[in-house]
Amino acid sequence: MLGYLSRRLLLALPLLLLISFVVFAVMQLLPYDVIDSFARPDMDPAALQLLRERYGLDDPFIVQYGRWLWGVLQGDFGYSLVSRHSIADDLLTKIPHSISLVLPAYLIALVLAVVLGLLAGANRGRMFDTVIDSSNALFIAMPPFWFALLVMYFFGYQLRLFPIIGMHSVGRSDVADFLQHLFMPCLVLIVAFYPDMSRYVRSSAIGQLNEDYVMVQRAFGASKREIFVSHVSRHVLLPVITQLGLALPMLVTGALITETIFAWPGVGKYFADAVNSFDYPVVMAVLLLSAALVIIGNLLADISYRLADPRVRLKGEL
Amino acid sequence: MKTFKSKVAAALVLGLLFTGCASDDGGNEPSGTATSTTRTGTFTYAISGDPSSSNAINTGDRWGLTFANIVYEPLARVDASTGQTQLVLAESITPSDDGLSITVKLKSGVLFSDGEPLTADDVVFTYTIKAIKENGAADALWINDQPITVTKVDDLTVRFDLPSYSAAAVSGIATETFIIPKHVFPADTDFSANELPSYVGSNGYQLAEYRRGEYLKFVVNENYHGDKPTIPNLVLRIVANADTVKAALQTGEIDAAYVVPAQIPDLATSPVTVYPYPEGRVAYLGVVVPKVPNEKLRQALFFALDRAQIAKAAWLDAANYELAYTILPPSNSWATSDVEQYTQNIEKAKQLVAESGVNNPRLTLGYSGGDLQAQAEVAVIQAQAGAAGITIELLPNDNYYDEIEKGADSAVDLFIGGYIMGTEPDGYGGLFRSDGSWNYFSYANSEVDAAFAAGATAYTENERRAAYYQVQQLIAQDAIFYAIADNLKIIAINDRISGINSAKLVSIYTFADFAKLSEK
Repeated sequence: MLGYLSRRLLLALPLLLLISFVVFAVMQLLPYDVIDSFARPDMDPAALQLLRERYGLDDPFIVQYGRWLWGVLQGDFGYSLVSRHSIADDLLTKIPHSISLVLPAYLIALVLAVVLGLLAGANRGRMFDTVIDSSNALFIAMPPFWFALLVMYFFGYQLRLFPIIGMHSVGRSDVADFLQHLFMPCLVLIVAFYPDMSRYVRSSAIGQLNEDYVMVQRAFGASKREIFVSHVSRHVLLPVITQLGLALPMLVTGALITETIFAWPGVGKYFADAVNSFDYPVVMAVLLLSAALVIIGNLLADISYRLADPRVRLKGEL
Repeated sequence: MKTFKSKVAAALVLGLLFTGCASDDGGNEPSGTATSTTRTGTFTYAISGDPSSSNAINTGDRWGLTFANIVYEPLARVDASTGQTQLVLAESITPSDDGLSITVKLKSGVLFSDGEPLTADDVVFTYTIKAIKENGAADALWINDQPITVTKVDDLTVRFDLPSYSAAAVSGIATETFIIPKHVFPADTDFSANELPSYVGSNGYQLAEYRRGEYLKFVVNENYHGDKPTIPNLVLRIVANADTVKAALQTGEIDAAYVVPAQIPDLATSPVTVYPYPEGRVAYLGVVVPKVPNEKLRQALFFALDRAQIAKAAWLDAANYELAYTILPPSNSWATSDVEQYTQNIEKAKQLVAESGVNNPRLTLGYSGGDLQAQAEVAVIQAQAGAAGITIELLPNDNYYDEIEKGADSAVDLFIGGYIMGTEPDGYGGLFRSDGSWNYFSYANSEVDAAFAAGATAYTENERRAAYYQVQQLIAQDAIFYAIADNLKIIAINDRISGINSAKLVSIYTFADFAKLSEK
């Protein structure tokens, strides 16, 4: 296992390096640099050139890349062109905010997807299955921003049950206040995450029903409930582990639209604002972070899958 | 674009189908119990973004200046609508007979929020720092490339010495200079930065908490020298999405926000009153001159446009705007209509395109993608220019001023802008003088520079008027600036808030004095 892990890590490192190189090269191609973040129209071009030299921006590309990479490894992503703030500091504040919104939404969506997907699979072709399958199709087709406005109108304006803006009321940081603010954006994200997973579980369950072991269980007189709880669910849930790993980047950037609409101060809103403002260093930092999380997520998914399914281990060793 | 109401009405039908829930009224009136309405004791004002600078020395954007005006006070304010100077920290402002110095006597008993007295030392400190060009906003404190100097006479008196006579000096000294305390800043403080190490001011509120991207919270300054604010907390809540702002206004989660004309009908059933007011703003189409050096092409573009249609698309009703023709808003007493107005003439535009020698001209137009009015303006401009054979490519960018500042290297050729520079015409020099701090056009015309200088130093009103008329005519002739309109600003305020007349709606800062707002 340790050997496998080391091999995967060794493979992941060059990939991360490659991504960092591409991100940096793209940044270099863009018509902005850090000096632009504080240049004004009346500043002397000679003074700007001196500043560029002081910041090492006239060094060769590879030297600048090395310096930038060293900074990134130490958590220094540079500065926002718009706010002139440290991007690393901003991300440190905003990542926990995003996780606090996306993680509960994802977990609830996962539980719902597994339960409803299995039940739909077990009742294939019946009314329950039709309702679940049709609602999944509808939820997938529904644009998140539109559903977010609907939720806001219904729960926020018509029913006045939940506050519309932000993560906390001003000056409050208690759990009850947080949960009140969490409800609407969380609901939007559940509806965004749930249908794909539910369809996946449903189709896996239906696929499993055609397997020989199910026929054998039936022949032995096992009830439908026993077959689903003890056998089918195990086979269906294994691939779900992969989904969990792949969801890692979503924890950070998975709520871009929802955060923007509900003014949730997370990475999604930060990223959306940066894109709208052409704030390249922020865009690149978030993209780099996302790419790294995709790789790490894949790695985690493979490892967990390997731990959970002995057949994968056997194949891996062949 | 669909309105919020129609979107959600359609959505509700589907929502009811799948949730099995039903609303009794089905209309716009809320049926539930409010849990999120505004709490008593707090005035919550929605702003669209963080202040781009919270440094009172160099801030220049709307929210940065709003922040500065909440925490700090100037010596005096110049009323944008009347041009009258209203004393704030100053007890008197007395120009000398020869016009080469101005003596300012300060009010006594004024304290900063930390309890320290505000004295002449603080005024000298503030103006000395502000006059340093590197700190980013020194224009108003320089005359003919010489700085205005300030000297302490006694603890409550300062004297400003002008390098030469300037009719605009009092306005220049009073406008947007907020007095900061000398004693709180270490000697090595960088005043060109966008943030300061502390925010101690003398106005009615003091900053209690700033969460970037979320809100700025202010509490009453117990040492305030005026009538203490009756609302204990003031919150500037950052909400960028226009639909979210509207919904929060309707629920009472926020008390006030700027709205656009298209949103007003949706607020009709809410306990909110809409206040349109003039700001003396000029909305315009600007040209990055080094990117479009061909004057005939610029003129062709301007002749292709019809400002009335552009303004109507953006502000819907003629009651919401007044067409503008020069760099000064039409309400400004120094504005003239005797300029080239570029009345739409497609044939002439086509002829000028041909004369320009540019085949199939393509120009890139930068604008703020999140601004609903700018979206409408660029759509009309694109269509009108197209009729004259000029292709306009749109480039939405919420931070496009950084791009424009690159001049010849900019990715945009044209941009949609707007400014509020007050009633003193010399203030507009910062935009159009070749060395102006906000010369986003990268425009340089020595005749314009000379005319601005002549206007500032002229002794008689007629001389000044002639100089500023010349400025307006020259800039129009050069076709670098196409004025569209002076649009009214529209603010929606919850009916539970009173004192709006006393707090006074003003340009840029929203309220001249937030401390005068109260709850019913």
